[in-house]
Amino acid sequence: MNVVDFFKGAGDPVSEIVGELLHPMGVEGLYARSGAYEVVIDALHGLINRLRDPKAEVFRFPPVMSRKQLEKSGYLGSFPNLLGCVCALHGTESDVRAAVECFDDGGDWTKALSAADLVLSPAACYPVYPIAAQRGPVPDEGLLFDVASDCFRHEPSKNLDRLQSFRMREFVCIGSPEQTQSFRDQWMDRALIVAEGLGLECKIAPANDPFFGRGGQLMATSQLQQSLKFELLVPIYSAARPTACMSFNCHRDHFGDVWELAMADSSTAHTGCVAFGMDRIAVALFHAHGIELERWPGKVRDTLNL
Amino acid sequence: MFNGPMAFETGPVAKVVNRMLARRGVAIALTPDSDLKNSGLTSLDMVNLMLAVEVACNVTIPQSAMTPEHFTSVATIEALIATLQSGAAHEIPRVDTHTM
Repeated sequence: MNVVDFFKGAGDPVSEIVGELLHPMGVEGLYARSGAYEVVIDALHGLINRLRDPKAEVFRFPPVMSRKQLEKSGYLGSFPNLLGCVCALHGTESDVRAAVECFDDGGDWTKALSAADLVLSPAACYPVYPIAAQRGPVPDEGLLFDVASDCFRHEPSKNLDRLQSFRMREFVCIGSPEQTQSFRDQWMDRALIVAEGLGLECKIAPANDPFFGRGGQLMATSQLQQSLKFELLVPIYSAARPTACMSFNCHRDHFGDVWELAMADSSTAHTGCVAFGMDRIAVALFHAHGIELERWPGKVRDTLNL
Repeated sequence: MFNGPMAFETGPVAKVVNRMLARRGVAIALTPDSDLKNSGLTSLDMVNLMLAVEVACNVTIPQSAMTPEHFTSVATIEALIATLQSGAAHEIPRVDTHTM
């Protein structure tokens, strides 16, 4: 079995994409992307640009962020199993050389690693809240951001809808509870129109985040009961377990509390976001319309300006 | 005889909750019906509370019982534990969740 066949998996409905558009890089959930695949990613970015509120401020974040900021955001309490932390060889020159010599001798040089100040960003929006908080009170009309970054989650899988390294783009709203709820709800309506333009069969459903461990079930149920999260689901691998390609989230005052984000009247700001799983949407498009862009329906090509 | 409050204070669930509130720096006079979320416990605290109660009461809380309603107060947690210890876990209403 060659490496491509291994990563395709038996009976995989998107197997054609692997090999033609994505090339396995030797680790599950990690792929090199072809030019044709990136044409679709770029077209999706163009579509999302056209949908962006003119008042939104744009940030493009690196694939890493401050470890301290993510710790402060509470990520370890919810998803410690998904986090990737940057490690490096610290210490003196002789310490570092000793690690290299260990490798040269066939030993495990990674034992000499220790954590750096960086983690791999698990979602695009985490760095924006401390930036907004530094600017003082949130104006009455609220704040809008357009953010994006490469993201990492440690969940190796053969499925193309669960990559370890993937691209996420988000629109973020910071404001009153009413403003963030309205922002989130408007995007749920708009997403269905966008999906129709993209020729994707889909539905929007209540959802919960994959909170860690047995105890995470309690957080998941609470999230569902409060209708804090919805997802746009597209059947890629199966209709019974459709793939979440977008999510619509109310964080309530979580990030406002953490970063002391306050409105002008000193009340804690609420936040919400709509997230586009860029690679999942691209895979859904190739799955729905085939791997040859020239054969995609005219309506879809028009929507994407292809 | 006035042993209600004393019994409450020494119950394993109340002990766990009081310890958690103390760690949070919350100083309140806890009653069996105090709303724990309004007492300053976060959602992550509630998870840790659930796990600590399992250890303190030597029970395993089934997935079907891991719902916020069972963890709103010391009284609701004690009721849940009593149900589990009586072997009547099947009487706990199940709440299905989306698992994506």
